[in-house]
Parts: sequence; C-alpha cells; structure tokens
Amino acid sequence: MNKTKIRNLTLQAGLIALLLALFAYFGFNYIQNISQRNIEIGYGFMDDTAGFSISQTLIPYTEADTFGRTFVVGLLNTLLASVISIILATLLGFVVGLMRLSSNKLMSNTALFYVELLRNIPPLLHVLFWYQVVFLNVLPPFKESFKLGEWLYINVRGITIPSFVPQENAVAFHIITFIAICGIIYLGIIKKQMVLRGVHKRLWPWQVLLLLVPVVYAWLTGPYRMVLPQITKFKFSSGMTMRPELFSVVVAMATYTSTYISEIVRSSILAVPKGQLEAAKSLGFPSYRRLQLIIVPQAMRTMIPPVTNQYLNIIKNTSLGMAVAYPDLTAVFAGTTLNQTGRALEVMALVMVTYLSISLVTSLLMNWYNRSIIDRKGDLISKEDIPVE
Amino acid sequence: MSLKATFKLSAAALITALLSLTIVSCGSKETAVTAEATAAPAESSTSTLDLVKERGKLILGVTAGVPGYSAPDGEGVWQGFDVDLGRAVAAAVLGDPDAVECRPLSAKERFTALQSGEIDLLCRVTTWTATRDAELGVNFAGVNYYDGQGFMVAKDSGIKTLADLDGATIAVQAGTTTELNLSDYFRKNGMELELITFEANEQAAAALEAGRADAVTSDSSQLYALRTKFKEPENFDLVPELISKEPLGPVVREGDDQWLDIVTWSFMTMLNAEEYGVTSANVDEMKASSDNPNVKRMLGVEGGVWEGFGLGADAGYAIIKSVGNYGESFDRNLGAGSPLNIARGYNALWVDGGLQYGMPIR
Amino acid sequence: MNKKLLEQLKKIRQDYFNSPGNAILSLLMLFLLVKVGIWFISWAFINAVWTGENNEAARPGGATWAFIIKKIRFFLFGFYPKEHIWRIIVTVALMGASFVPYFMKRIHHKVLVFIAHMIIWPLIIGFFLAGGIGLEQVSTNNWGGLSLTFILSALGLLYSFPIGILLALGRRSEQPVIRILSTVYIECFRGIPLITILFMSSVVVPFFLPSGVAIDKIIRVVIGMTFFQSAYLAEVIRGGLQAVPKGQYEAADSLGFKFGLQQYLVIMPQVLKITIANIGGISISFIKDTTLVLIIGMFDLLGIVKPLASDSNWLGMEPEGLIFAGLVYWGICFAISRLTYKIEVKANTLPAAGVKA
Repeated sequence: MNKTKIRNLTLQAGLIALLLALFAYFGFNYIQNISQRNIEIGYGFMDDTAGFSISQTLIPYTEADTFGRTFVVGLLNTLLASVISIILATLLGFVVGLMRLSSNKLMSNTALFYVELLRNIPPLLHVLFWYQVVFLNVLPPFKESFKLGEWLYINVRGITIPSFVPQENAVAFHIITFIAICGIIYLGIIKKQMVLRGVHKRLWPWQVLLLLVPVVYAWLTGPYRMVLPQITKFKFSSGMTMRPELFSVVVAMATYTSTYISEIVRSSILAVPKGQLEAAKSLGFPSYRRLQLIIVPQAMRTMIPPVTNQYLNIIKNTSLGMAVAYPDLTAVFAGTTLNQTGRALEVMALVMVTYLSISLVTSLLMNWYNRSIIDRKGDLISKEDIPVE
Repeated sequence: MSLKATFKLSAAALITALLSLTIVSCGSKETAVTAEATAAPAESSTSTLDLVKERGKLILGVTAGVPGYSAPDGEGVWQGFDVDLGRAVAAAVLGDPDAVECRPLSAKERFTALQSGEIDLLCRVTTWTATRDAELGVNFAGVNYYDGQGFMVAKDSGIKTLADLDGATIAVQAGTTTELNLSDYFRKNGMELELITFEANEQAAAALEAGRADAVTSDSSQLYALRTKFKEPENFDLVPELISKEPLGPVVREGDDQWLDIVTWSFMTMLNAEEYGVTSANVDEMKASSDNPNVKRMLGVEGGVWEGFGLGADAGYAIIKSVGNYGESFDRNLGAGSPLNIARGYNALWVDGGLQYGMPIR
Repeated sequence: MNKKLLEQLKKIRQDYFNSPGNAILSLLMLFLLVKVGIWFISWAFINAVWTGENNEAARPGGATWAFIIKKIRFFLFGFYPKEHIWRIIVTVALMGASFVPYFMKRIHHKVLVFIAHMIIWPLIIGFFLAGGIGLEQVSTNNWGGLSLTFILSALGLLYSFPIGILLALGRRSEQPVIRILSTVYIECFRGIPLITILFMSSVVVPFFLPSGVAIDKIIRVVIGMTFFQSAYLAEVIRGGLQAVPKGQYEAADSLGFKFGLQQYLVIMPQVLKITIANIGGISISFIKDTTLVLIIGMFDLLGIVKPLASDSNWLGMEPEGLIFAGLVYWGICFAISRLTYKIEVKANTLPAAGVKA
C-alpha cells in the first residue's frame, strides 16, 4: 500500500515536471523569438491610441481612444449579439418544440422539417447566407428602401425603425412600470398558491388594473418622444438602425440554435410522467394551469442544463460574425487590435480569458436559477400543499 | 485500488506524452513531408541564403489574390508584379525563377509568417512605415511600387471629391494601415465616418458593389485591381485625390543583412536594367556586346559585384533573362499589357520624371 | 374503394382538422408551405439554368446551376493541380478501404485497427496528397474543397478519440494532479470559441517553436481542432462512464482485472454503446466546425465559394455556391445522423456486453 502510494506520488510529480518542462520549452522559444525581433512583451500597449474606428459601438468611442477601450467595445458587441440571439433562440425554440408536439400533423411535420433542415447546415453558412444572399443580393439599395409608412425602412444598409427619446418624466415612468410588474408577478404567485390549496378566487382583474396604471400614465404624460427615421444624403439621421452585420449574426444564431432548443423542449416535455398530467386532470385544473403548474416546472428542471449549453454555444458562436464584419470581441480585439499592435500572445490570452469568464458567469447564473427552481418547486405538489379534506 | 490508480495515472501521463509527441512529431513530419526548414537551429548562424539554397526553393509570402500583384492564373500558377520580384530573387539565388513557392497570407498573418521563418520574403503590397520597421522585427528592402490610398465610389452616387464623403459609410479591409489613415483623415478634416471592417478587400469591394457602403478605400492600385472583378466595372470610379503615401515594398526578417542586400539589389538590378535599356529580349546581346561598364558589372561580365553577396557571377543576368527589367514587369502585370491598365505615374524612372531610382551598381 | 377513400378522409380530418383552431392553423400553414414551395421550385428547377459558359446564361428568378456544374472540380478538389487529382481519389479510397478490417470477424482487437489508422492515415495523406517522395510535391495551399473538409474532419475525429478517452478517465481519476489537469484542460477548451484556437494556431503558435522550424498550416489547424474536439468528446465519454452501473466495475474487480483490462474489456465497450448517439452528434458538430477554417484563409468546401464566385465569368454566383455547399453539408450530416441511429438500434438489439445479469 505504502509502496503504491509512493509510486503514485512520483508519477504525479513526474507529470507536473513534464508539463513544466514543456511550458519552459515553449516559453524559452517565445522569449527568444520575441527578443530576436525587438517586440516588447506586456500589456503596456493597452494605453496607446487605437486610431481606427469601429462601425457599431455601444459606448462612446472615437479613433482617439485607447486599445483598452476597443476591448470593451468589442466585448459589449459580443454581449449584445449574444443576448439578442439567446432571447430569440429561446422563443423560437419553444415555439418549434411545442409545434413538434402538436396533434396537428401538418404543424408537427413542418416543425420537424425546419429542425432537420437547419441543424445539419454549419452555423457559419447560416451567417454567410443571411449576409451575402439575403442582404447583399436580395434587399433593395439604400435609396430604394422597402418602406412601411414612415415607420419602417428595410434596405441593404439594415432595418431602420423610429427611435424613442426619453423625456424628463421617463424615470418616473420606469419606476411605475417596475412596481406594476412586480405587483403583477406577486399576484400571480399568490394565485398559484391559492390554486394549489384549492382556493378559487379571481385575481386577474387586479392584475389587469395594475397593468393599466403605467399604460395610462404613458398615455397621459408621454415619457418618450418618438422620432421618425429621416433620410439624409448617406444615411438615416434619426431613428434606430439594426445593421445587416448584427442582423445576420443574430438571425443565424437564433434559427440555428433554436433547432437544438426545440429538441430539448420537446424531449423534456415528453419526459414528464404521464401520471402527473392525469393526476392534475383529475384534480380539475384547467388545461393552461396544467401546463403552468405541472408540465412546465417539471420540464424546466430537465431542460435547464442542456439549454445552458446551447446558450454557451451561442456566446461562442457569435464570434463567427467576424466573417461578415460584425465588430465583436474576436474581430475588433483579436483582429484589428492584434494586427495594429502585433502583440499576438497578449491579445489572444486576454480574449480567451474573457470568453472563459463569460462562459463561467453564464453557467453560474443558470446553475443558480436551476437550483432556485428545484428548491421552490422540487416537490411541486408536496403533501402540505394538497388540501386534506 | 492502488493498481487502478496507477493505471489512471499512466493514462494521464500518456495524454501529456501524446500531446507533446503530436507537437514534436508534427514538427518533424513537416520537415519530412515538405522538405522544409531542416531542424537546424536557425540562430543568426544559419542565414536565409543558406536555407533557401539548401531547400532549393524560395518561399514567398503573397496576397490571397490581388490581380496584377499576386494571383493564381487559370493554371493555378501565381503571377503578378510582386511575384516577379520573388522570381527575380529566386533567379539570382538559385538560377531558377520557377523555384518559388507562393504562400497566400492574409494581412493579419503576414508579419508573423515572416517573423517565424515560415516564409523567406514577403512581397505582399506592404507599406513601409517607421512603426513596422521599429516594432515588428522586419526590414524593408526597397520600394517597388509608390502607391497612395484612394477611394472608389459608384459613378451615379454624386461623390466627386473627398469632401463629398462626409458622413458616408466606407468599407475597408481589417488590419491595414489604410484603416488608420482613413480614420486620421476624417478626424483631421472634421468629417463624419461610418466604417465597416471586412476580413478581405474583396468583401469590402463587394459591399460597395451591393450598395452596403458608399465607398471602398484601399491603395489605389488595389482598387483598380478590385474593379476588374466587378460585374459592371464601368459604373465605378476612383475619386481623384489620394490621402496617404503608401510606398509598397519587399520585406525581410531583421538581423540578416546579407539577405536584405540580396533582395535590395535584385530589385535595383531590374531598375538599372530598364534605365540602361536591357530587356529580357536583348540581354544576351547586351552581355556580349555592351561596352557600358554599368551594364557589364550588372550582368557579371566584369567586377565580381555579385560574388560579394554570396551569389553566382551571373545573378544579374539571370534576373533580367528570366523576369525582365522593371518596366517589362510593370507593363506585363499592371500597365498597358494588363487588364488593370495603370499609368506609370510616380513609378516611372527618375529619368522620366518619376520616383524609381536604381542605385548604381559599381 | 369508396370506403377506403372515406377512411382516408376521416384520417385527414383527425390529423389536420380535429378542432376549429387546428383547421385554421392547418390552412394557414398549407398556404405558406405552398407559396414557399412554388417559389422555391420555380427558382431551383423551372427557371433554373443548367448549361452555359458564363454568367450571361443566368435568368432572373432562376438558379444558375451551370456555375456549379462548370466548377464542380474545384468544389470537390480545390485548386489541386488537375493532372494530380487521381492522388486525392486514391487517398480517399485507401482511407475508406482501411475500414474493412473493422468488419472482419477474425480480428478481435479492433483497437489495434484504430491505432493502425492513427499511424497510416497521415502517411497516406503525406505520401499521396503532399507528395515529395516519388510523387511531385503539391503545396498544401492548393488543397481545398470537399477533400479538404474530409481530411480535416477525418484527422480531427481520429486523434480526438484517444485523447478524449484519456481526458475522461483523467477527470474521474483519484489522483488530484491528473484530475485537476484534465478538468482544467476540458473546461478551458470548452469555454472558448474554436475560432480563437484557430487564430492561436495561425498567429501565436509559430512563436512557440524554435526559429527556423515551421509547421504547415494544415497540420497546425488539425492539431488545434483535435485539442478543441477532444475536450468535447471527453465530456461525452465521461457521461457514458457515469452511466455504467457500479456493479460492472465491481464485477470486473472481482474477476481480478487490472484497471487497463477492466476498461478495455468491460467498461469502454459499454460506454461506447451508451454514447453512440452523442458521439454521432458530436461528429456532426465537428464536420460543421471545419467550415471555420475559411476565416483563417483556407479554401474548404464553404471557403471556396467566394474565390469561385469572383471568377470574372461567374460573378454574382455566391447564392448558388452557398446553397450548393449547404446542400452537401446537409447531406453529409443527415447521412451520419441516420447512420448513428442505425448503429444504435443494432447495438441495442445485441446482448449486453460484459456480464449478463
């Protein structure tokens, strides 16, 4: 026993030594290569002036800003594309997943066709298709935009809608809306508890009333001013434009990933034991309550880990946007900045660490959500919840 | 249990061994497969000249396809103005202009490829700047094309001068000096700019063609080249002004002066040949009969200039015989003899009022 | 006859019109499908152009498949010299033929066949495709099209398998050093996009090698993709390992099997059986991932569309090229998913490996 212990220890030490030797070898080569070529090592370049401009920036950025700021701009663009893609993919995935479960054969077969067609095509091809075929080949040029009244313009430069400029009372409006939403959710929770305890009392009129408060407030005071898109010589001087680059990435990621999410949704719902549904039926719950109280929470539990993986895939896959000039972290920082500074190792290391952190934070968030679901609804209809009569 | 652990351990040890083996074996596989870069440590002791001679082939970094400069022809053979310079060096060093392997590189990869020794010479429409010389560990061996950054626009866009571009959407290739010049120029003149950055110049040009951008910017020579690939090239034109100096030239690794000299003087030979009227057609005749001492030294009839570089006496002759002089190469690839039809302009010889000046061979 | 018709009608009503809501949905769906279908058929077939020498043959509202037909050599073999294309065919044929031993009953240790592949495939590719010894050398720059996609996927999958298995075992090891190293490796590679790894391999790796030693781009890419894929494969195999009942380990222990033998004879066969579907799915992902090499300037099946469509005779043919490439990828991936399904069904009808409980 002792002998094997010693052997294990020596082997592990040997492994570490081997790894260290490899690192040392590569490190030695790197330093030698670098010093031979008079390249500096370190992150000092982050404070230098970048000098190039970026098409889409969520924070103010000019050419006079630093390379460090290009990192932030790229990171925010990655996050923007990821968040929009995740929301769209989830919605689309749920719709398609439910369609596949539909008793209507036409619906379920269309959904099956959608899934089988799109998931077997590489995501990069999705992105290129939307950009090169749809935007650059099909959509009309800027001056011959497809128009919907004064509101919506679609052309090769993107999709433009009116922008909403917040007025002085916008803050008050936000607070009122927030409180109203919290109230509605709270009432929903109360209602659910009541249903589970067999108390039947109408709460929805109160919810509608709560919803009306911010609507009426907005109607009376106008917290936002709508600004219609105005065409100047080269572009829209007002309004919000979703650029084709962002659009292509987002739509490609949403449609591609939705095929996977729909399969997850479908199998999770199928995995809910039939007895649960029958029990709920016999308790006299209406069909939407069955879905809300029995099916979805249980399906949720099996759904979250694989869906998290898909979200992580989306975040990583938005880097494909660089094939269509979407200025994300990879394109801006690992692309232009790397090239302007020549600090390959430093830039790539930072990019990798950043992606790792985003992935880690996302997994942590989803794990936390998953645990909260299991904690709250783990024993969904526990003995205490069911009224004993 | 402990046995099991031992096996697991050896399994893990195997991982690392395998990883390192793959790396090492792939390194050696490469040397076996492409007979490239013999494992000799390339300190300053192994010169690029020796490497190239040993390999019997010059590895030339080129663009991924810019017509006129470096692009594969219908047979897949690389042709162009930059390729000609590489062929001239190969002719001088190895006596065979065809002993050139072209490595297409993106703008981003080019310096790394040179620094790491993947290529021997970079002729990839690369601008000579102080920063590159100072920071990237490379040296420029001359200027084979004096270029400047221009803008291509659609003729019906109403853009006639640079000032008309205020507020325009402009497409550009990522990772080039072009990108910086553009931002500088617009900032300096208080003009507004929306920039879309593409991985390749072709994509940027396609964005102009599709109307995604109002203009595409690049070195004017490349814009001419890109235009030949348009569906309706006659609808597009260059704005007359240029916003930058772009001296394009061959690049070598820093720290190998002999190799730098060889590249520089291969190019100078082409310039001198044009100046003295030596062409690929009449080079034999000139070698036999010319009594111009410059020509005699250039063609190795007298002087022993070339031996000083570690080359054969007829290196200069081989260059002219196989590639021709500067003017021939220009006409064939870029000028009247090519679809690009670019005027000599700054690239005329100094005797004709241009900037190309061959240093004396003596 | 009439009765049959009635039955069919009844079935249709049951499937599509069983409620008013469903009836409306069905009609709406049908309308959309017919509309899209008609447009697609007229574009892809009725108005399509199948012959022609250049893009003047194109018709508005129709596909120009003539482009694909004229350029099919490049889609398949990239810019590989025409007179040497037989070498690609021989390579692929040999690689295909090397699967035969798997089906031979006489060979009991299929692992040996796999190890032989790991040695023989690169040799075949090196000898026939790259050339240099006996055959004329063809630079890897000229490799491209479907054959490049094939080589990248095949080599990547081949080498990521053993590494993936070792990593999975390592992550479950009782030795802290091995466990931590395996875990860090797996999580790191799973946390970053493949494109950054390809960037690393094309921009940073050259700096880690002694100056003068250069590794060909294709080999660097294969190594990068193998490292990336093995992390994903390791997780799949770890899932399989966890699903093997503990009794199997104990049974193997009681038979006196040592760790290696236990894994080889008892555990791994079961793991592979359990994970067939996942391995199939992950292989499909790998094949789709090979398209990313276009971003670092290699001309695989997807990457070659752009250069082919910038031929001055065939300008503006990108949609056709992309759709063709998509069709090929779709066919390959769909075929693999069917194949895995079949293998899975077959594997599940066999008696369980190891001990019959």
